[in-house]
Amino acid sequence: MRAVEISRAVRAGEISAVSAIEASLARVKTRDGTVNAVTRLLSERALEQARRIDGLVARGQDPGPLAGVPFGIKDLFDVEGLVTTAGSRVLREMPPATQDAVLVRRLVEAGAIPLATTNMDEFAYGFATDNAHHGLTRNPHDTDRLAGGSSGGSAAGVAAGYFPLSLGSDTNGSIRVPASLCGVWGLRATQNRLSTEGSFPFVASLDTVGPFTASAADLRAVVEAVTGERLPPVETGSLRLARLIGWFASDLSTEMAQALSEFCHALKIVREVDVPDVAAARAAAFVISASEGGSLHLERLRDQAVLYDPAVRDRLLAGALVPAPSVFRAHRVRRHFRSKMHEAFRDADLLIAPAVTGEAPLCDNPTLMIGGKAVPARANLGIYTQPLTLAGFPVLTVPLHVSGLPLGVQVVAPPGREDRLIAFGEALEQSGLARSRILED
Amino acid sequence: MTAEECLAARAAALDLIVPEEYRFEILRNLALIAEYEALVSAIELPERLEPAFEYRP
Repeated sequence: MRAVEISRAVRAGEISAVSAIEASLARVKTRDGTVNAVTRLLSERALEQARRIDGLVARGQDPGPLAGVPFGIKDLFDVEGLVTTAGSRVLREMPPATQDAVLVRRLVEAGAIPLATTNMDEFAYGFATDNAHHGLTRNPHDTDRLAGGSSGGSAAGVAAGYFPLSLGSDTNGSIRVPASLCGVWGLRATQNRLSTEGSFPFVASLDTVGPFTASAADLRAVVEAVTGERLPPVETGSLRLARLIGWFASDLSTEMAQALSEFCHALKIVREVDVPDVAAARAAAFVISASEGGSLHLERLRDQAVLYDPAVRDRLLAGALVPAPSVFRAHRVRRHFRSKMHEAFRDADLLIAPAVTGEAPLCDNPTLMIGGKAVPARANLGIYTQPLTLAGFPVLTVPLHVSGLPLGVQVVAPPGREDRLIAFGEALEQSGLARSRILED
Repeated sequence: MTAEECLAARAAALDLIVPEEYRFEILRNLALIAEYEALVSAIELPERLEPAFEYRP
C-alpha cells in the first residue's frame, strides 16, 4: 500500500496502525534474508507507537497526516536509543543517540512509525550498498543485481514492500541512483532545504537528506510533513520542459536510450539544453567529496584504519592527502557551474536527464560501460547525478513505466521549486508514464 | 617527484603514517583524483570568482 492509503485507512479506523506494522514486520522477516536491506528492526518501538496512534483514533483525536505509515531509516540518522553507525564498525562503541534526527522526528510527529534501520555503503561512500560489515543489499526485482547506493537499503526496502517510505541521504547521487535501479521515487531536495541535523555527515558541503516513496502522492505528503509547509498548486500543463544533452546523452544503454526517448516523445519535449563544463562539475564534486570526507575521518584513520571497509579506507586516506589549492578551486568551479545551471533554466522550467546509464549492474560483475570501457559501478553509477550535486538544485528521480528492469530519470528544477517537481511527478503517475515497482504480497 | 614520493611528502605534512599494505590502493586513488584535479584546473575562471563556501544554489 502507498503511504497515503495506509494513513487514510488508519485515520478512518478501517485498519489499525498495529496491523499495518505487523504486516510490514512480517514482510521484512519473509524477504530480507535475500534482499538484505534492513540492518536493525525497531519492532518494540514501532508497535508501541502504533498502539498509541490507534488510541488517538479510538478517542477521535488527530493522529497526524502520516498516521500508521511504517518507514525505514538509513543507518546514518540518529534514532533515539541506538548507536548511529553510518554503516561502520568504527562508530559502534559510540554512545546511543539521545534523540531522533530532525527528519525522523518530524515524520514521527506526523504519525509515521520508524520500522527499521537500513543498509548503506560505509559512511555513504559508494554507489553499490556493498557493506563490508553488513553485506550486499540486493535489488528486490532481480536479486542477482545491485540495488545501488549508498542509500540502497532504504530504496530496496520500499521496492520490496517493507515500507512505503524511507529516508536516505544524497551527496553525489545516493538517493537518485538506488531509486532509479529499484524503481521507486526519490527526492534530492534543494541544498539545505531539509535539515541534516542528527545525521552523520559524509561531505557537509554537498550532503542532503531526503525521502524514497512508493508514489508521487506519498512524496507530497512527506515533504509537506517534514517542512511543515503546504506545497502550492502548480499548473503542470504549462511547464516548459527540456532535455539535457551532451554529457547526459553519452554512455546510455540501449534500454535507457529507448526509454528516455519514448518518455520525451510522449511529453512532446523538443527543446534540448547542453550545459557547459559538466565534466569539470563532476570532477569538482569528486575532489570536494574526497578531500572533505578524508578530512572528516583523518583523526580516526590514524589509529583505527583497520576497522574501516578497505575500499572506503583507501579512498578516504587518498582524499585526506588532496592539496588545499585543488579543493579551493573545486569550490570556485561550483560557483561557476551554479551560474551555468541557472542559465539552463532561462527557457525551461524543468530539465530531464537520465539518472543512471541503464539497468542495475549484476552483483558478480558490478561494472558499467563508460566511454567504451568497463568501469567499477561502485564509483561510477553516479555519472549523471554527481554533476548536478555540485549545483545543489532539487532533483526528483522518476521511476519510468518500462517493461524490463527499473529505470529512472532525473527531473531538475530551479532552487526551491520542489512544488514543480512533485506536481509534475503526480501528473506523470496519473498519465501512466511513471510507475513505481513494488513487490506485491 | 614520483607518485610514491608525493604520497610520502603529503603524508609527512599531516604526520600521517601510511602502512605499506595500503599504499598501492591509495596511490591508485590519488592517481584518479589527480585526473579530476586536472579537469578542475583546466576550466578558465575569473580571478574574482569566490569559492562557494557559503553556498546558496
